[in-house]
Formats: sequence, structure tokens, C-alpha cells
Amino acid sequence: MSDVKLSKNESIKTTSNYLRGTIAEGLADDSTGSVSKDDEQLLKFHGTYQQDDRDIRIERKRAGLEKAFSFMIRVRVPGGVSTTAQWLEMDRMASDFGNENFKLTTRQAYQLHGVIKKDLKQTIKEINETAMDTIAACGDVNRNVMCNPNPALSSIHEETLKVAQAISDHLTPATGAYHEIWLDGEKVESSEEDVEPIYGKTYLPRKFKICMAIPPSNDVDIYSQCLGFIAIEENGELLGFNVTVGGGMGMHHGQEKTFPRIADVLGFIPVEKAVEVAEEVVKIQRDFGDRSERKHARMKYTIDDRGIEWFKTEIEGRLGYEIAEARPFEFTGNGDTYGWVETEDGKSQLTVYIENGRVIDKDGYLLRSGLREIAKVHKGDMRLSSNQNIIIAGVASDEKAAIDDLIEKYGIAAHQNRSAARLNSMACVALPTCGLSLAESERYLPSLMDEIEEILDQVGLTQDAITIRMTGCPNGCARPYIAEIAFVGRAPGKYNIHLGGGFVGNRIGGIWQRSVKSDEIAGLLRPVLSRYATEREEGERFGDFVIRAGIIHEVTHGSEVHKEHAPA
Amino acid sequence: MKTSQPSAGIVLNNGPSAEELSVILAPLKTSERLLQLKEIFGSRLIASSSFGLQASAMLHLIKEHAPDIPVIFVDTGYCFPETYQFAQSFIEDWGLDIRVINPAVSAARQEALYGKLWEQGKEGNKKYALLNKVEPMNRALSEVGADVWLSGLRRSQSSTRAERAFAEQQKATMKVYPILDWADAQLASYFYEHDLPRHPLEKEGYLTMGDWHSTRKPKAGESAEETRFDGMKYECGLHEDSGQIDYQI
Repeated sequence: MSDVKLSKNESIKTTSNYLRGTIAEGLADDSTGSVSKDDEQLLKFHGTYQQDDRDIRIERKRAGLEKAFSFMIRVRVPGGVSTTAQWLEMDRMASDFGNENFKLTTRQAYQLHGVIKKDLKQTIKEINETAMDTIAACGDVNRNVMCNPNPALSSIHEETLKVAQAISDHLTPATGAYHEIWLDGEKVESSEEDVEPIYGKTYLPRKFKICMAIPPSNDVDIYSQCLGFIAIEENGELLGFNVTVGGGMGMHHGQEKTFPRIADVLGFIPVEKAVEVAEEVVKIQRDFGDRSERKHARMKYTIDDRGIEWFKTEIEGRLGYEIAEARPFEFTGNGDTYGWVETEDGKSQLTVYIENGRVIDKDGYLLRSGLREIAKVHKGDMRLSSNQNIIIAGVASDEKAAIDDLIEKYGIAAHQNRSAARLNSMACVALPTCGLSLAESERYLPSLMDEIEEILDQVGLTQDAITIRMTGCPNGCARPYIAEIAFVGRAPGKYNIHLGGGFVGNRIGGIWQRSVKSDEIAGLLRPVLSRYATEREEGERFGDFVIRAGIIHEVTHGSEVHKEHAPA
Repeated sequence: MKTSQPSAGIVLNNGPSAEELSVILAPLKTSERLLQLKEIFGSRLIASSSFGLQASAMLHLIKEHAPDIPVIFVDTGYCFPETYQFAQSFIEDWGLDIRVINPAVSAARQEALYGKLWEQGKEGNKKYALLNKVEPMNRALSEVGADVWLSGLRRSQSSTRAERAFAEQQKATMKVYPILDWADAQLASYFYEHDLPRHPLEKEGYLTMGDWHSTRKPKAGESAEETRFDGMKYECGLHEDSGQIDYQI
């Protein structure tokens, strides 16, 4: 079939005049809080999603009002490194335009929620004034480039971060639409070819995700990304990167054609080739990605359908040189290291646990206020981790005490003392704002963790790190499929439970139980956790144990995730 | 803006809107769509069948994946005898929860009071649809206590259905079309694969099926939709949003 029908989004992109659509007109229309259907799709490329508060839909409808529309704005922070000034600006805008809190995302980005249409332009403008932007934070383009933010090896980190920044800049859409719409930029006339030299007018078939990992930490979850770079160092010197391709998380319930996939390691490249390799990988996906079916359009399917050998041949042909064999590397985990750590440059950094990345003052816990006060006195930077935590980095030894005092004063210290499982847990936003969610996630995981912690306490696993992740739908924003225990929303109050993901994020967990009611989850997990506590071998991780014990089958390829498994 | 902030409380009634449900259902296999609907809506589901030419497919899917859903057969009083016999075979043999609903005003009474409504142009047909389809279906929904209504509409059935979404909100009822994107060939192969019973009038050349007075065999070169209501319209009235009328679902 040569005349494959393109998916609807393709025509929206084609006719958008490089992402302009009728966004400007839509913003000016004050008769409604929403924008048109097509603009809703285009706005994603500009870093914002139209949403509405699902909790109050029914009362709004009864009152004869339109939905409570608002916008989520995602702010790109390549490598998660942000200044204290940027932190304080996000904090201010959360009050001025948002709903008094902001979220640190699983891609090291900031997220504001609840911005209404009339404030959207001003908010994005002010974000740009902080030297951050929102373009390509969402949409069918390269998203925020992630980088391990933990500079225990600070020189390697510094170099790797530079590459991350360079890749991010290189792959940022070149269209003038962003400046025109949000920053009152001049309309620049240019020839078609100049506008988007890498993407072209239809951009990519689907979103594209890039990250940089610095072993031994795999906090960026490199195996879940379209394209990854693993820093390879020798004697404190960055030699280059192992390149990974074809990872991805999203799938649909019961649709075997869709599945999460672990990335393949392609080979080794020197540092100076990273940007051009990134460009060619993106272009291969641009040319070969499936534009007829969005559920099959991610890079992981492009590679899975053709094989990694095909991909290697294709990219080597485009680059004009061969990619060397991958260098040895080892990951030890994908979580964060909490508390104070001394870095190579003699400074210190403090990693603070933020439950599900939500920076908020709530129920007497003044987390947001505390971090604001810290940002006011802190002289280093604020690094957003891939696990939705914050790293207060670059602290000189004589400044530690002041930060410790604030951590204590605002009760942040007390909230760090949680089970290792909770400290390794993540949840996506889900209800009430995410239009895709089938079930609660961020609002529910904390109370489920209370139940799970009780069990962990009883069986003596409080200090044992187990990665636990929850998402409100199968699209996988909190990277659930590579967690050791995952809860994936199926319907209100019902979750599929996955077990057996790899602790370093290198293996997908299979579906252990389907459609479990939320109040039955802890009860089902109790015997499994109890067995792990008593039957595990020395150093054996939970995800490995459940496979060895026959509690779940091992998923060796993502497509097996749907496979039936009779629980033991 | 001060919207609700994240809290531990779980709010009910914030399930997916019709638009969101369309996005959720679109990528799924048909069987999974039914499972997903069952998971989300449970006893709020209801289905309807006209026992027409293609009805076996949807009924078979319900039998396989969601046999508890009540299936409403709106008996207008003007079905072909073959349709009644066809429906009866399902009622007796398929183990589904099929419920037959009749209009509040009988066929004889309608004809005595209003004449042959189906011969009275657009207005007549509209009134006919309300009396014989919409009102009984509306009653069925409220009797069952359901507000999510499954039907076997497909986009390829007619030009008027080409733009439908998988789920639509019509007043208090969410209408969902699990086989909306099935092409004719897919339907045919489903019939073949499961050896499904066929409507007795299919072999006589009918391309569509409705009440006897508004359905005829095609003349040479006619499309299926031209064989309904003499080509004046295709929709029987049950799946049109007639908007103005109060008791429209």
C-alpha cells in the first residue's frame, strides 16, 4: 500500500505554516477559555496543553458554564540545571498565573498548572525573560534533553551537560512562530527550506526524547528514551558516549501492537560527534517513522520493525563513517542519592525528596516556602532530577549550615525520613487536569505508599530501595514499565499491577494482576513483599527476585508485556 | 487561577468526557474497547440493536466481551416479519440480556390519529422517529439506569457518519461506537470468521434494513444509503441529535 492515509495530526502540521495555525487569533478571542481543536494540537509544540479541571466538570455543566479550561505550561530546562533566580521566578509565576504550586517533571522540566487563556501569553513571555523557554517542551519534536544532574564527577558532568545543551539548541525548532506569537517578535519572511532545516514542515511523526547518562547512575532512565548517550570516561576524562536508540514507554491496554521497549546500545562515538549523530538519528526517525498511525509512530517501532542492524547501516550511511563498538559501562540504579554529598570540586550538594515533584505548601508542610527561602540565600544552582526531586548544588562548606537551618525550619528535614521505597517512587499528574488519565495517580500514590510502608515495616524492608511508580493511564509519563512495581491506571479506582522491572531501569515488568481495585492492592502485594524479605539472596533486587521466584515471567522484549501471567 | 489543588481525596464523577473517551478508545482493538468501557462504566452501560443486516457482529462482540450489558431492541411495530424472526433467534439462543421496548403509542393508534407519518415528509418522519424510536429508547435508558449507550454505528455505513467520533455526549447520555472504524471488509471477515447468522432478507438483495415502509431493495447503481427513506435521508432518527426536542436523549 503506497497511499497510506496520514494521521490527522500530519495535516494539522502541514497546514499550520510552521506551527502558527490560528493560535494568535485564538488567544485574542475572549469569548471562550479554550482554543480550537487544531490549535490545541499545535500549542503542544509551544509547550502548553489545554486542560480542564475534571473534578468540577459536572457542577460547571449544571451551572450552564463551559468547562473550567486552563493551560499547563512546561518549561524546558536542559539537563535540569536551573539558577536560583529561575527557581524564584517559577515560584512567583505559580502564584501570579498558576494555582499556587508547580511541578518538577520526570524530564527535568518545570510545569505550571491552571494558567487561564488570558494569562497564557504573558506567562510564556515572562518565562522567556528568565532565559528559559517552552518551545518543544511538548509536541512532535525533540523534547527537553535530560542529563544526569548529579555532579559527583563534576568535570565529566560539566562536559556532558554542555553536549546536552548543544544537542538541545541544535534540535530546537527554528520556526519564527514562537517568537511571533509569544514574544511579539517580528514576522520574518524566509524561504521554505530555511525554516526548519532538520524537521521540515511536518516535524517528527511523534514526540522524541533524548537523554545523557553518567554511569553508574541511570537516573535519566536511558533505556526508556528514543536516543541516549552514556558518558564513557577514563581517568577523569570524557572519551565519548555509547549511543542508545529505540527505547520508549507508552502503550495501550490490551493492544499488543503497542508496547514499551528497552533501548538498544548502538555503539560508541567520540564527544565531538554527538550533535551530528543526534541530528541524523532524528532525521532517520523523520524519514522512516510511521506517519499513518500515531500509536505506532514512536522511534521504538521504527527500529523494532526493521531491526537494530538496519538502523546501524542507515545511520552509518548518512554519517559517512562507522560507529565503533560500545565501551563497557555499568549502571547501579536509577534512583537519586538523598542528603548531602561532597562533589569533586570540593563543594557539596543536597538532594531533597519532593513527593511526586509537587512543590507546594500543603497540610502544614511548607515545602514551597522553604525552598523559596533557600533559593534566596543559596549561591549555587538548583538542579531538577529525573526523579522529580531537587538538588541544591554547588554549596560551599561554609554555606551548608544556613541551608541546613532552613531545611530544618520548614520541616523539610522531617519529610526526608521516609522509607527507601517511597524515596524511589514516582507518579504522574493524572487527575484532575490530565485529559488522558483513567485513574488517579499523584493524588493517590501517597496514601497507597502509606499502606505499602506499613507492610514494609512489618516485614523489615523499610530501608530497602524498591522502585515503585504509578501512572493514571498506560502512556507512561512516570516511566512505570521499568519500575520494579508499577501501577498503571485502568479505570477510576482500578490499576494493572506490573512486577519485575529492573532496578537499574533495564528491564520491563510484566502485568502481574489486571484491574485491581485500589483498596485491594496492598493486600495483594503483602505476601510477595513478605516472601522477598525472607527468601531473597544476598543483594538480590525485588525485580529480580519476583522473576526468580516465579511470581512473574521475565519480559525479554517489550511486546511480551501483554502476555498472560497466571499468578503463583 | 485557583483551581482545585492536589489533595489526598479521590473525587468521583471525574471520569473521561466523550472527547477524552474517543482518544482512549481509538487506538484499542475492538475487544479491548469493550473491556475498557466495562472497566470504566460498569453497570452504566447499555446497548441497542436494530437486528438489521449487520447486527450480528456487535451482538457477538457483546456476547464475547461484555455479556452482562442489557441490549435494547426498539420494536417500532413496523419491522419486517423477518426482522422479528431474526431477533427472536437471538433472544432465544444467545443468552444475552435482550430487552424489547415498544413505543408508548401503538402503531395502530398512531395511524388512526396521525395517518401514515412516514408519508408526511420531513416533519412526519421526524415525529415518527420520536414516537417510535427516541421515546422508547429514552425510556429504556432511564428504566435500566444507564447513561452510556453502545451502538454498532460505523463510519463507512454512510456519508452522514463519516465524521463521527468514538464517543459523543448527547444531553445526559454518552453514546459510544465500538466498531465505528470497521471497514466493510473487516465486518465481512468478522461475519465469516465467527460464522455469524445473517438477516434473512440479506440474500434477497437488501443493502440496508429498517422499518418496512422506509426500506427497499436497491435499483441498478444505487448506494445503500439511497435505499432508505427513498434517499431522502439515511439516519433512522435514533442516532441523530434532533436538538430542540425536550425528550431527545
